[in-house]
Amino acid sequence: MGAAIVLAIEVASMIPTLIDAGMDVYQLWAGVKAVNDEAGPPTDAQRQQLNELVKGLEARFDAAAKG
Amino acid sequence: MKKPQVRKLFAAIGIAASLSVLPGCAVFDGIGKVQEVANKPVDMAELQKDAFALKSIYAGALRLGIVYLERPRCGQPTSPVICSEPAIVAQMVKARAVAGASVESADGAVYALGAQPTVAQVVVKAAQESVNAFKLIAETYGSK
Repeated sequence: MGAAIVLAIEVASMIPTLIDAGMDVYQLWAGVKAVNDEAGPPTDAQRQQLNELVKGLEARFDAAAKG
Repeated sequence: MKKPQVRKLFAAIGIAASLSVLPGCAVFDGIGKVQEVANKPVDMAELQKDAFALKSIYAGALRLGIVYLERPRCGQPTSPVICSEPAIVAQMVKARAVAGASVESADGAVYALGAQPTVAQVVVKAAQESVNAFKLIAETYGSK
């Protein structure tokens, strides 16, 4: 089993907790599917979507950290 | 020496030899595996998938961290029972900074033109450790 699929399983295992936390996990689930063993490397569109998701979350995290 | 005694002697020598050699074989086997891994060509496509999966885990950890950070801070007269400890907040902020930077480094390393696969592999491994550290804190406090 490749490292990517192990990491994908780890992402998948976080999903129930993330739903409880109110996260829209659709994009993360797409990420899990994108890194399965048969798939090639993630596409530019998938990377861009994830980057946008991360940027939004980072901004919200940093704002919440300031209190 | 009689024949049965000679046989017993050889059997004993054989058992002793195999006992002393077996652990040695295990060591050689271990070294062989390390060499096998070291000599195995690094697959850049796999590293790109690893970096992508790591960023997904980082995104999940950020979301859990937000749950904790959005609670009112503890230590105030008006603080509710469910609150966020300033010390934990500080720890989370540091872990997020390290994880965020390492995830970006990993992303850059696996897509950089002319990147050395072995270097990219080390950068991805380091990112994995810092993302795991952040995820651990975020899950511990953010999912309560």
